[in-house]
Amino acid sequence: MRLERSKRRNGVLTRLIFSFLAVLVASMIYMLQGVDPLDVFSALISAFTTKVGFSELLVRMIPLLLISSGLALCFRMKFWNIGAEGQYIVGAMAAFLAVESTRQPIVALLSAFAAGAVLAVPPALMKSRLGVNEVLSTLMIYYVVYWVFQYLIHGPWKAREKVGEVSYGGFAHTSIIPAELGTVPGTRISPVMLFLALSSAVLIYFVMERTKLGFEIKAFGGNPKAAEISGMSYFRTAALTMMISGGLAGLAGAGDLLAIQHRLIPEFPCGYGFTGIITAWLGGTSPLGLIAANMFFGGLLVGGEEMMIVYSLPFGAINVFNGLILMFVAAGEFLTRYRAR
Amino acid sequence: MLEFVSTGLQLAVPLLLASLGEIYAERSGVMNLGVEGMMSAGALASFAITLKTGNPALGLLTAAIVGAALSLAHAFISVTLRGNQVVSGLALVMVGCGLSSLIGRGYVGTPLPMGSRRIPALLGQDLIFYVSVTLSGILWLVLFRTRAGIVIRSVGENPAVADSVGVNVHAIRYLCTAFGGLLAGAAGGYISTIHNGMWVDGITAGMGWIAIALVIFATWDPAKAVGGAVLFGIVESAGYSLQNFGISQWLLNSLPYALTIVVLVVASSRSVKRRIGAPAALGEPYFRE
Repeated sequence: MRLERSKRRNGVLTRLIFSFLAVLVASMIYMLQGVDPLDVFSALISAFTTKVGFSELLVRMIPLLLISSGLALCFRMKFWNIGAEGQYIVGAMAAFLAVESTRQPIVALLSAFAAGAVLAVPPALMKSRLGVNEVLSTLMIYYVVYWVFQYLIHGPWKAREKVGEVSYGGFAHTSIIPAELGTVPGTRISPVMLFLALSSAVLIYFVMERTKLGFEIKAFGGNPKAAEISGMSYFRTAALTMMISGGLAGLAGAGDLLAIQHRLIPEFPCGYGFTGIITAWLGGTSPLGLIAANMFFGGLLVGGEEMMIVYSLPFGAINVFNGLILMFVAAGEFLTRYRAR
Repeated sequence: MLEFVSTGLQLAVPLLLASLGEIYAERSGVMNLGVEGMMSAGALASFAITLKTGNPALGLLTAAIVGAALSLAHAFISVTLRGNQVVSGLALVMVGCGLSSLIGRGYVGTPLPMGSRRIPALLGQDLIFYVSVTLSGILWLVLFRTRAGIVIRSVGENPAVADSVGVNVHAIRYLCTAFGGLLAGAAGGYISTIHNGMWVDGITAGMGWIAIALVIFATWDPAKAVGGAVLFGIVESAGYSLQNFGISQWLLNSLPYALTIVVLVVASSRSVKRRIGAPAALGEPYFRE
């Protein structure tokens, strides 16, 4: 038997089948840990079928979609931005400062995009000039941002509580922001953020198919040496791609602050930046693929959180699902890229 | 002062072990970003076995086996299935950390009895410190002074040529990846069983990633990994000490990661100047044309 590179590009079905296999294996692991798999599936299904479940699914889909749209661009170029979580946090921090001083949510959104974009450029510079591995640089920048964030809300940004006339430093969180983004009554969904998230998926499709940047991203993702020789700048392409990606992640952070949390708390960074890596890989640069993948993971998060509470599991346990899905899909690529002869 | 250096040397052990393993995997052409996950799973396995048997050696051995088993999943995807090594490595981090978080929930807050953590020590450092430093010397010898080393390096530099002279490229890559997993698992076991003496969720706290950065800092040379690991161990230990001077623990927590960025930039610009770099076929699946 010989293996040959296949021309078939339709990987959607293969990815679905392998994701399903991964969910089966993960359920078996959970079963061994005393979790009834039927509970897992019913929690997952109720996220899609009940009104509360579905609205909470959309609440999680919004940041995931923004983040993964940007990541899909990076991955298409084979630039592995793993630091979206840090870009999400810095977006929320910039939005907090902006809304505190201007009371304008729109200014906060713009500042968040700018902050995320700026934070995303150094890895592109380090990679193009020095060949620094971007997986490490983006992740290390995330860790630094994470601890600086924790420092700020445990220290300089900590809200002072008032009980009667006495003011004291209370729990580790900031004060409530003076202006917010409106939500659909009875839900936590912000129409503005939902619109921005859906547009971001369409935007990156437009970038890929209709712009020079998209052409360069494909060129560097396919054959970087040829792209360089034909006069394209790796730094320019990588920096622009990272600015879009970082900016969108920043927007996601601002949206969650302005529409949902209304203040920064230690648990604010809850891993959307890492889950977005999986949905970006699953969805690619197709808007429908991205929306479908992020809706599925939105549901997985809602169902997963319910399981965590019912069975009092640690939050990190959901990574068994996330990791296995990513691993199985990476393994399944084999079937779409090669065929036996 | 002495205690501060001694803690630093102890913190260097897991970093050194994990980066030595990753050096061998990468020298054979396989980039395994899953170190953090393998360490995390190893940390839990070692803790659980030591708690049950009271034998830390058995704990570390189990950790090594668990690490190697996880790395085989990565080897299967990246060598046999020729999948994307970055994606597979990230998936391994999530699976390893997720599994240890899920299975370890029953162990949170249970300390190991002091007796079962005791291993022979000399001059304030335990046996494993000396074993790791000796190991880096042996691994340097094997890599640069033996036939086996030439085979490993040739597979990582030019697998087609190695294949043409009869080297089994896939077998070498499997072996080196598994060896990397072995050491990463043991490194995690050292953290939970010897250094901490208890299990906390997220115990590895990014150490696996720092170990990967150390590989670049050491320019894929096992002997040079010792210096890097000690540097990072000392900086982390300094972080603990500076807390006593009223510097925010939150800011100090970011220190090792900020240092990693600096080290990556310095090491990479040095490599660019001297034209030494990663193994030429690093991250590339081998495909016999």
